[in-house]
Amino acid sequence: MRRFLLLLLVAIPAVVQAQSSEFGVNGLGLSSRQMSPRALASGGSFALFDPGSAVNPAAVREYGRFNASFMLLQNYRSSTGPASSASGRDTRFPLMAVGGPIPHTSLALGASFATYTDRDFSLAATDTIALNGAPVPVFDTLVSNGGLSDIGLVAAYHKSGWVFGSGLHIITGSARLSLKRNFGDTLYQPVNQKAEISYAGAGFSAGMMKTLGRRAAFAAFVRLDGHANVDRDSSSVAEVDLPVSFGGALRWRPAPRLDLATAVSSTRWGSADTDLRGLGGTGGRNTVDMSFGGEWLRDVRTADHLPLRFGVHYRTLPFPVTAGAQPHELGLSLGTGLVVAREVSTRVPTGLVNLTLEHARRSADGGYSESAWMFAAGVTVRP
Amino acid sequence: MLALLLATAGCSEKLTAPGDCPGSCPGDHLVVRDTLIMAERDSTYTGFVTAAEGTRLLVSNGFNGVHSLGVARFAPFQDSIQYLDTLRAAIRDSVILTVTLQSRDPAVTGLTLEFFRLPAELPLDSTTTYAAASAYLTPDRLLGTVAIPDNLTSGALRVAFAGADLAKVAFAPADSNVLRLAYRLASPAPTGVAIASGAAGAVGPGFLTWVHAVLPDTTVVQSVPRINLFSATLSDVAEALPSPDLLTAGGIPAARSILRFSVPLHISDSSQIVRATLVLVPASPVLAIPGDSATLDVEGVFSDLGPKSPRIQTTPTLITRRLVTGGETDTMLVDVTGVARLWNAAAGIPAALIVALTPEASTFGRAEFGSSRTAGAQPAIRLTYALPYPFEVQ
Repeated sequence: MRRFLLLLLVAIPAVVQAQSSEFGVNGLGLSSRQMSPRALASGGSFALFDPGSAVNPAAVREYGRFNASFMLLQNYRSSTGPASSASGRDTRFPLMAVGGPIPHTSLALGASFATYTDRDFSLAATDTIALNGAPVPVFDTLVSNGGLSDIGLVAAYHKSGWVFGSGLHIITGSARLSLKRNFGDTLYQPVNQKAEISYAGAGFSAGMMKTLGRRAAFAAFVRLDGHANVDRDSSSVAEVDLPVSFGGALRWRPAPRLDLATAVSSTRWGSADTDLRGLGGTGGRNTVDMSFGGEWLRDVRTADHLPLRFGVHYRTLPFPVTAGAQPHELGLSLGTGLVVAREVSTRVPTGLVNLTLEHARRSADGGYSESAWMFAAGVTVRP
Repeated sequence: MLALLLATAGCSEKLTAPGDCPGSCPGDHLVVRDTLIMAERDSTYTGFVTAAEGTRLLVSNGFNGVHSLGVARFAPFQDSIQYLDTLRAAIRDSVILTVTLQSRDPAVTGLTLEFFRLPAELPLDSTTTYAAASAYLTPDRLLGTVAIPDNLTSGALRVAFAGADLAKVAFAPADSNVLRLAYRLASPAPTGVAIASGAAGAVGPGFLTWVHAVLPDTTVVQSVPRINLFSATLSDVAEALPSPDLLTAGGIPAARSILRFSVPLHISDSSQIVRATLVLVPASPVLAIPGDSATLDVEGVFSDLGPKSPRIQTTPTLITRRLVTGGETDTMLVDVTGVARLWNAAAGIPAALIVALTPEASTFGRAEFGSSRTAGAQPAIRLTYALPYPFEVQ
């Protein structure tokens, strides 16, 4: 079994997601949904109930025992701009989470390390500029590696069918950017500039879950992120307001083997608009994320083994490529899970692998579009 | 092995997306500017390389109204050779005098190079003048002449002595076995030739003697080369001092000019220079014999110490050379990007350039350029630079 897990861990990057995108170039990058492969497979609709996702702090109470999960993502995409197109791929590790109930109490604790925004991108373009009164072709490449991460510490309390949770979030990270310009006239030496932009901020989240009878449940969350201090090579250059997020989800089990859910949330990135425009960027826009999905169990006694998960989501993206044109994303997803280890005496699953295949179509006015295939794999260990 | 293969394949990335301008254009926020900065506190210093230190002897007969000779003094001839640990009297068989032609005007034909022998009473050192040497260029001191083939632009020229002619190169006691020569050019029209000097090494003036020693049962034959100890160009017109209102490079003794620039702090501290071009406006046509050329060397300095500023010669790519030909009057543009990129506070390299004409003290002419005091012909540097990229915008 250990050999199988090892092989799986190294093999997954070859087949699995990411979020690098031409829509993650401006602002703070491409915002992450902070969802586990299990939640992604249902379009994100189960994320507010999923303890493995870093969305709703109350969801950590769903852990039946101690869990540690790790996620790998591989993205294959084809990006199109007004004048050109290119394909790309990348591998990321956007989410890790640990947590579990405190024995003999109604409390549960958890911690997560999730991508907040992804700032990995590489742009290449050609242009012609006038130098010394003559037109000179230029070839530009801008590369960014990094992003903002969200370290969350959450606690949840269960009482009379209600679950309340809260979390403290530390937002940190950096992006190493480099710009290179080569000139068509080789008498001009290449421009080569580098900088490290680092970010630091903090936030607070609260959430709840409530069972509605035997077949339904409701969940909601709100998250308040303060602001991010932006430093360039250790010198403070700006302060960017981070958004308030809120959302709710409804879960319904019409049949023992079928679980459906829908969720809607909004992130008020418009609060960062003034700050980002002040830096010379294209600003920020409020976003909405809507999803619907379900899970069909092959066998209710082994719910984690080979279920069929499906979902669809639509969301708007916060940082326009060009001023005024807010990008949006439509995604379809499919996934399943495998029990790869069980406790010998109780047959309780102790090792899980969840796999998700998602296709997303992103577009914005101005001729920008992107088609992405994302493979997600999550490994969960319950020691 | 399978795991390693899969891991390798999985870690490959291809992030590049198309950037479209404007919008997702990497260069949207990159500002590249041009500016022209005039030189200031520029001046010329002379005396860096003397006539005796140049790598070429300039021999002319009226080119540009100047007559000049090449002179050479060789190490004392040894009239004995060592054979089987014993010095034995050397009997001269033949003598060969050589020079190496390095440049000439191909349009002037019928050139002849004359070899004169100078007497011992002429010291032949850095104090020797043209007048003093030319007084001895009499027919009785003419050792020989070499006709320079009309199609020869460079190569060895030699005069050989054997038999009775050996008397011409025989030594008197006053000579101390030291051969002193003068080289004079004869031609149907004023022109000049450049021949390699002693400073040029093996191609410099040569004095080779073949000798033999007679032993009871054999004959030993040897060549006895004598190194050139001194060589110089002597001219009948003394080189004028460089004009204080111009920038001069070259001449004999060699002059160099230093140009200083006040580069704005926003360029030197935080911008990236992508191109720097030195603009020099000739104040007069560059003087050189047709067919000859020199190079204008432009170098930075490690520190500005005026005439003693140490030049940056550690890296060949930081030395800019521009070929200069006779008669040039057009504005000269010299790319000095490599040096200018060092002009930032971190490197501590001053924004100054030294201009020299090489090979120094080895060209017929010199180049004169307008200085900061010359109206309409001031030297300047054109800088193209990129401002710091506002990465935080992205």
